[in-house]
Amino acid sequence: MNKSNNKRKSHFRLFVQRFSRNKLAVFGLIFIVIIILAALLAPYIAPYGYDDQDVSRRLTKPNSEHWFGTDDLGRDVFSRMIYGARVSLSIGISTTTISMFTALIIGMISGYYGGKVDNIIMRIVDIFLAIPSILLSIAIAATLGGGIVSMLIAISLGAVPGVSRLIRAQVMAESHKEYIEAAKVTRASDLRIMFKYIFPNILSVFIVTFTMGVAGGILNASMLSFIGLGAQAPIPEWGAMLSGGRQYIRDYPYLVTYPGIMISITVFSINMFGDGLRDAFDPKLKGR
Amino acid sequence: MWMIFVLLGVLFIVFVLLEFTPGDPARQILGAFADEKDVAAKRIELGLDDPFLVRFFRYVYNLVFHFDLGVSYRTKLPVMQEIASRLPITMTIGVLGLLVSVTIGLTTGIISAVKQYSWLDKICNVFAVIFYAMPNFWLALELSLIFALYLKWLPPTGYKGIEYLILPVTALGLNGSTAIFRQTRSSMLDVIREDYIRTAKAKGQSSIKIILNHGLRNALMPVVTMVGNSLGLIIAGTVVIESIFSIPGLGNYMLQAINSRDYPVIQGSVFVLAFMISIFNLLTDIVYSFLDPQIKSQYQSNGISRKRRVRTE
Repeated sequence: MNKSNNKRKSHFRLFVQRFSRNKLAVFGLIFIVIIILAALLAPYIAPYGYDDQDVSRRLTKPNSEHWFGTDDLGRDVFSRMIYGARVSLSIGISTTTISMFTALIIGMISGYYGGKVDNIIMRIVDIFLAIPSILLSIAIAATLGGGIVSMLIAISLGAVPGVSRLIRAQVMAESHKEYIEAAKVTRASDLRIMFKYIFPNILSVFIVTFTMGVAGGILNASMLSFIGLGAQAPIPEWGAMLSGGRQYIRDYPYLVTYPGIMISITVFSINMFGDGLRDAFDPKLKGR
Repeated sequence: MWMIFVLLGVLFIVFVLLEFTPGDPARQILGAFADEKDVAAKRIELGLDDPFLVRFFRYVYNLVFHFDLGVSYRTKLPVMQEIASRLPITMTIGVLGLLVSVTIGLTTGIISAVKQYSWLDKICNVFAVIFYAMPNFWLALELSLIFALYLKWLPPTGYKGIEYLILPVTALGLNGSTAIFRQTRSSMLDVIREDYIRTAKAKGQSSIKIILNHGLRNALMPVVTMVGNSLGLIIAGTVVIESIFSIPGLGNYMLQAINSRDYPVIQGSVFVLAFMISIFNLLTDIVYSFLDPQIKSQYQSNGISRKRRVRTE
């Protein structure tokens, strides 16, 4: 490839090129697309409904008819896992959206204004950070009393403090740069500076954190469901399926193994995808 | 000093959370069939009709001067007593888990960084991302499936001796080691490129000495921060792990309390766990000051309690 050709490439093309060089990241992306498709097309792909009970076929081991076997109520595990992708993905994405945007506002204000405002906000964040996010989520979900909605709130709120701090650091680093000075000289309003000038420059970090956040959200959701504070029966959440299969682990280990593998691969793919994105955004970080 | 504010803040958060819980504590203590009058009397006895702040300060006062966290709705025993009897088990698991994760994380991290791009580095990296993606409770279940149910090497559940701790500690440790591994590897890679490492090499020092004395010592600081953070995660992880292995620790107790909506216990457990984590963070800060002379001198000059820290969540 000669140099003149290289120059004409757009920023985006270069980005895609850098990304596609990372094989694990591409694998992650492909798997994410498969999962999303499975989630969207669940009624067409799944051989059975997620709550179709067939008591005559309880706890059958994996066979040609039921690929992943059936659970204690005779429900097809494979179908439930496909429907579970809907629940897990939408929880992961929605909690991350809520927490990231809350954190964006907090981090922007704290990082941009600095001084006293920053001090007060960050001390409050410190207090929240003293409780590990998952413990905070457990406490919130416990008070709100289980169920999907309270799980959503619990996971979102649990993730806010850590992300706020991250965004604040980014905003702070940006707001001391010269182009912000220049924007201030042109008397651009604070809001305009924050969202028109600073935000595009922290966008790459924002996107990467968002991706990793989805993975974390799925993990936390599965944990909350596992201890009975999340999705309630008959909703086919992966963590809830694990928890349901737990008492049969001795004789029917597949009830525990398959949902766990599903969670792990999904989280793994999202993390790899996020890693790839980060390396593609900032080639200097590569290999770290 | 700052820690006291943090802990007060944690208490306040937990207290506010409980404000939103549905249901009347007095009704829960007396049961669903209690007389309306008795419930009202109980409310007054418990001081539930007082304003929010009054109740909050009473709670804090009782905690600070009487070590009292209230009484469990379910067992009618003082929460503090119940927690105190279970905390040692949880802390043992937590500290052992941390030790395992630090040992694994540090050694693999150093090896990976020193032999970057070698097959060892690749294997370490693959394992790190795999264990990172696994939910720790699932890892625990699979470990007990393999080592307790199939191979029968280790007891599956209970807590009667040291062999009962191996599986839970391994599950927690493997899960926690990934973050420490990544941090160690990346900060070692940073340090190895520094000029003073080249100087040490040029002086003809042995490579082990270079790695440990010049490399690790300088790379350790972000790792210490990460260790502080992973302790929080590990302790939070014990909550679920204990229930899987039926270990009678604080985490298991808290889960039972959650299932029976025993709010004083939830409140107390969250607070005590946060308290332990704060103490460990304080310890990390002290370790920090030993590693970094700059911070040490800061402490001595004006007693600044706020340190520069890299928080990664």
